[in-house]
Amino acid sequence: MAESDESETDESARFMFPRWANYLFPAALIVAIGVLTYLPLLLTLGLSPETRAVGYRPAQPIPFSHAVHAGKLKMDCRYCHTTVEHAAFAAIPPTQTCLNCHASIKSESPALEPMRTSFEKGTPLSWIKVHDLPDFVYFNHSAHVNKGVACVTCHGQVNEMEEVRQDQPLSMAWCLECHRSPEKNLRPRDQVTNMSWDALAATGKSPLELGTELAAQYHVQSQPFMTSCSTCHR
Amino acid sequence: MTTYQDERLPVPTPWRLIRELKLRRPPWWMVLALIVAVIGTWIPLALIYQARSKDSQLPRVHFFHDMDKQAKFTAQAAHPWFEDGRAMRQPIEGTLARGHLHHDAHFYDGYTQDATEGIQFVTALPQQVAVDATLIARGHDRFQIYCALCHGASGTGDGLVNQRALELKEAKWVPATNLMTQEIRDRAAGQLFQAIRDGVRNMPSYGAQITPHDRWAIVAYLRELQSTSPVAPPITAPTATAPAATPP
Repeated sequence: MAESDESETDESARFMFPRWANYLFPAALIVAIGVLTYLPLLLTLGLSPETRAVGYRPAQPIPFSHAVHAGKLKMDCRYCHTTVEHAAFAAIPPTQTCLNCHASIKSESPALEPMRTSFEKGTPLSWIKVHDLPDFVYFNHSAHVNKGVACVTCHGQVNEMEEVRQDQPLSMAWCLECHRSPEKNLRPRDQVTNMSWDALAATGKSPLELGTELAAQYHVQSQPFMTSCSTCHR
Repeated sequence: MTTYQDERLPVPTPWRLIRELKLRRPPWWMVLALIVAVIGTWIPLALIYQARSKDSQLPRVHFFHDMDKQAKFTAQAAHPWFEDGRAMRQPIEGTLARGHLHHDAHFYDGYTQDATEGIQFVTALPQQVAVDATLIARGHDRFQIYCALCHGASGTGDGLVNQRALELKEAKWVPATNLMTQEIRDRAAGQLFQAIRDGVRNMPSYGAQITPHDRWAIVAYLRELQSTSPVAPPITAPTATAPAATPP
């Protein structure tokens, strides 16, 4: 009896949708919604400059430590990057600048061998550029530094970096964020290279309040000018 | 054919229950595929998280190269056309850019030189430089950047680099001069200027790093600093700068 029942239902089951098929449509809908949110999320996160550009830390020809020079020894940025206040490009110092001290300090160090070779032969050291904007962007260091934008704002805590790494995305959206409202990133000109300056502690004003004053004092350009294409692209 | 629902009182025989379960559940491989697919979506996210939280020695990935790297010379860039590998060219020897002729000895050298009297350091600041609060402030600023490393913010020679060199017991290091001694105070302004430009003893030349105007500003600031600081005792015979390490 039971056996005949079984064979009969098995035959009919071949032509019957199984009961789980009822859930196939809602399940497919959920999966479709999932895919449609997942793929844009993946693209946005994966292609964003925060993923691709931040954290770029190339190996340099000499393991020059900003943590020692700018951090421990508290050397001012401008000791080496002398052109930053009056040129578009913050120059990488000539080998001579290294030798100002290293002619007598650690003068035999094997790590500094490339520097000595560079000086003897007169060939430049090939430092790898970390903060590299596209060639169609005409960034000018002096324009920023003289309006009170600090080094640390774009370059991060370089005084704590053993090897320089890219700290900010340096994307156009990131640039525009500040170009639309620069006030919160302004500080007095003489504090531009200070790596641990706090507006509230130093002046008793909030960064925004102080920045608004400084923007007027330093004649920071108007928002339409600063967000105009030709301000950065020529 | 009677189905499960047709019966008023379906008798839940074991066989019927198994068949019922089979009908309700999708096949196991389908369930497995779905679970694997859902877990699989986490892999790219985990890779992105890793890329965001870890530093990389590889440069950023460029998806669109259009004009990112243009065929032009940029500041301090390398270029294979030239023997020394630099795209930036040096001025041709024996030539000067317009406005770069340093003919004013007082302003650019700090001394005058003639055959009879030899080198004469100027004692006054050149007339191009007006001593005012702005100049002193500029001098203070530049002093802090270039001089204070060795000579110290107070000019007494207690700068961090000097301290570090003494700490490392560098044999070649000559301790930074105390700028507050009478000897330095008596030096002509031009001599101080020339020392910054060309260097003195162990001190290297800062002519390339500090512009002539800024050098005069530093001289003016140094005079200001000297006038407000106590005179330091003269440097006598080389005394032990650090407490002598007694051999065990």
